[in-house]
Amino acid sequence: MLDTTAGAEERLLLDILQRAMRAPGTRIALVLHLSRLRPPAPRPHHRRVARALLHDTAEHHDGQVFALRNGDLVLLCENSQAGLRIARRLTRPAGYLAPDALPAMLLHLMRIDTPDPAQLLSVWQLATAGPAALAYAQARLTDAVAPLGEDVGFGSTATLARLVDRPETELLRQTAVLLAGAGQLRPLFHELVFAPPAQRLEDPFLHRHLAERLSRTMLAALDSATAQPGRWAIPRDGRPMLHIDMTLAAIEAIGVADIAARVAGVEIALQDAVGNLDRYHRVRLQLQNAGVRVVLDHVPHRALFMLRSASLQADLLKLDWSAHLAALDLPERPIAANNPAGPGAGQIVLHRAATEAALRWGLKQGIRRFQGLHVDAMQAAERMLVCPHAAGCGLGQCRERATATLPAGRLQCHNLPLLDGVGPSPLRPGQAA
Amino acid sequence: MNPGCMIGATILPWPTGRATPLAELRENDADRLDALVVASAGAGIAREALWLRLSALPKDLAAPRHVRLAADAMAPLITAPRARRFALPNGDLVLVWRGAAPALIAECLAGLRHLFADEPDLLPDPKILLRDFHLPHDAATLRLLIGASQQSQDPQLPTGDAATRLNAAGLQALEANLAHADVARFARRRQVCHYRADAGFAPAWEVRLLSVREIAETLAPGTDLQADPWLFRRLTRSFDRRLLVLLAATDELRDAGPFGLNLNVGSLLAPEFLRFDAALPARLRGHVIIGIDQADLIADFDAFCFARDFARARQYRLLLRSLTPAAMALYAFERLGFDLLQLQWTPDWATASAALKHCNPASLVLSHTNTVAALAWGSEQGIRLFQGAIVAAPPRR
Repeated sequence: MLDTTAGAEERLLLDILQRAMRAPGTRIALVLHLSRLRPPAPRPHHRRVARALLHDTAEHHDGQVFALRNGDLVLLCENSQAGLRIARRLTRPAGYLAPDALPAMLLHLMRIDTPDPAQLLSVWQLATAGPAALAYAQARLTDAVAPLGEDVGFGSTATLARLVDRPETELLRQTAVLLAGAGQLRPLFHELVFAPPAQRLEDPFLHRHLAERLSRTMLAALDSATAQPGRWAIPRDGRPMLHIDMTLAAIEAIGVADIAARVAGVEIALQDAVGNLDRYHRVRLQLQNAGVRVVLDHVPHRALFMLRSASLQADLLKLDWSAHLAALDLPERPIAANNPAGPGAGQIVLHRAATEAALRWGLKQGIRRFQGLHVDAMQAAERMLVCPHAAGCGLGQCRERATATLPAGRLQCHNLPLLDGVGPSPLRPGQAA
Repeated sequence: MNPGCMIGATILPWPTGRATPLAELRENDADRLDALVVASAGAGIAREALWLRLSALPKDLAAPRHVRLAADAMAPLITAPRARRFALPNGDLVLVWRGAAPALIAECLAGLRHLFADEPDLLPDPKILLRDFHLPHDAATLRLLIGASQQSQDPQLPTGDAATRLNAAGLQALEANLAHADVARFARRRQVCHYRADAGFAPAWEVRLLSVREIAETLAPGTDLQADPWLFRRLTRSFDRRLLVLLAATDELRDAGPFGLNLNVGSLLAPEFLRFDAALPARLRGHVIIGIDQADLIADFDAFCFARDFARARQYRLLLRSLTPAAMALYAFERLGFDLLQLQWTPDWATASAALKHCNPASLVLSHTNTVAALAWGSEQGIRLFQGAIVAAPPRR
């Protein structure tokens, strides 16, 4: 819901600016356009830290800070040594920034989330560029903005307690594919994941705790998901190419033999692996010796550059797609060239590939393995091309039914073998890679 | 930037009157005491020794605060001629000095009685709690007792006996309790020391922390807070916030020397840190070390990058904690931007020195230096900063 009501802060800014314009002196208006950061920024900590820095300067330079509804922060203050209050000169902290030094610091701090550094800051001397500042303030009165997310800090443990009491146990199925040529898809494996909790856990540590609890029930859930008529059918030609998410502790508790009997691969979150590297390597070796593929899951894009992930010796690495990746300075070079100790493009599955941009970026980097909403949609389109019952179905419906493992989610499909990939191949002859 | 570029002569001198004298630093105290006893016996040098059997305190009087205060009660004897203090593995304290000092002994005894005045029935006979020895006459007895003291476990290790695992509901209750608790009583300091073979140990900085064990004993008795690593990490955020509030209090850091904090990335960007930052005296800028845990780094790289740049802009020094040989192979340190790397000693390091070949030894801190072998290995690698039982005095308030 967009809010078009002018906020008190916007009106106050305009009012004070108009009064300041009567005798502008050496006053400046500095606008930090946090609204121009690349989503998911600005996050609460961007606003909090930036506001603290601006307040610090405002305190020493007879200034004021305005937090606008669109997320921008505005500092009005004196910009001269004469404007620095004498009393403050004696007490200013070492970390204090003069108005002249603020832009460089703010640009430095926000640089990884800034698509265009030139657009992040506006600094107007009121004496010479006052009308521009006024125009900015006036424009903010009529902004239609989505309300800023509430700063929930670390999130609530109470939410976790509720989720642990009543964990979601429905398994969803996601298919990873090999993009073999122009639009040609070859299914590589199905990953089974628990449906995301109804309430979001902000804290990654609480999230890992919940994952640990769920992980211990994964095999039972897997058996249950395939045990009854109408449920999802596992392809029976040889060992099913199934991957499941598990934690290190759960793998050790359940035992590698039971896991190896059921699935082809285990996906371990990078955070879990790094949290106890010795344990990770012990478990990895056990799994690989039992013929189970080890996949590192939830690898953020920065891990490519900050970690020598080859040292983790996983068979595959699932890189989370992020719009940041497209903005990185990696022109036409394979990922391996940027970080020789990182994974080769042949080891990467680009995960959460929800847009065509993700696929394009991956292909440009030499990546051929993909998983995500866009891939699901492409697979649904391929199924619909060959399915005689497709006339009554939409693309989205076919995609959603393919992810369901329980009968309720698959009820409307009249071609379950095709949906499960155990019937006629959706690939046209000659397309298999 | 290479780690360790900020290390060197920039470390603030330890504030006068707050230093832990070299003689107080435990360099395998049991062995040193044993060597002193042997030397006294061999050379026939007369020395007096007073043994405070903290391990003999009954359970109700053996809370960490009791043990600490009891140890403090021995302070008068430090002023005796050539006094040396030894902290033994079982928690007992021994003071050795030259010449008679009956008044000082009486002062120590009075201090102990005063300390436990509310529990006279529980306090063991002073003759059991405090024993005096005369060297070289009692050398054999002393050596037997020193040997026995080494059989005990590290008193700092949590026992975990029959403790229940912390669960989500317990965490919720503990966080609520912690929000209103006076955490000042749980505040502790642990030293990180510079070591030079010719000069011994000298304090470099002290790590400020809250005692997890005491918090568990007080606010969640019978609960093992660390049994679930993820819930514990979450709990450390609450610890961080309370510690930062404590340190931001007026005058709390007025006389402080260089110090370190182990913080979560989220805590570095929290309002409590901003208030702490505003309260930090200017002279301490550049002399506060912030330790980051590896799991926390991975949890949110974007937030880490922002927090790192912010912390460096405010002149904090960053340390990556608890690195094992496997971890050394994992990180592209040149891109992470840490000033210091804390290696966690395990015997695996003995065969993994090659992992350090690209590191500046001045940027390395060896933690868990509890044995002579660890110290020797670290020294061999050129490491000068050590943390652990062998180098540090017992934690103090």
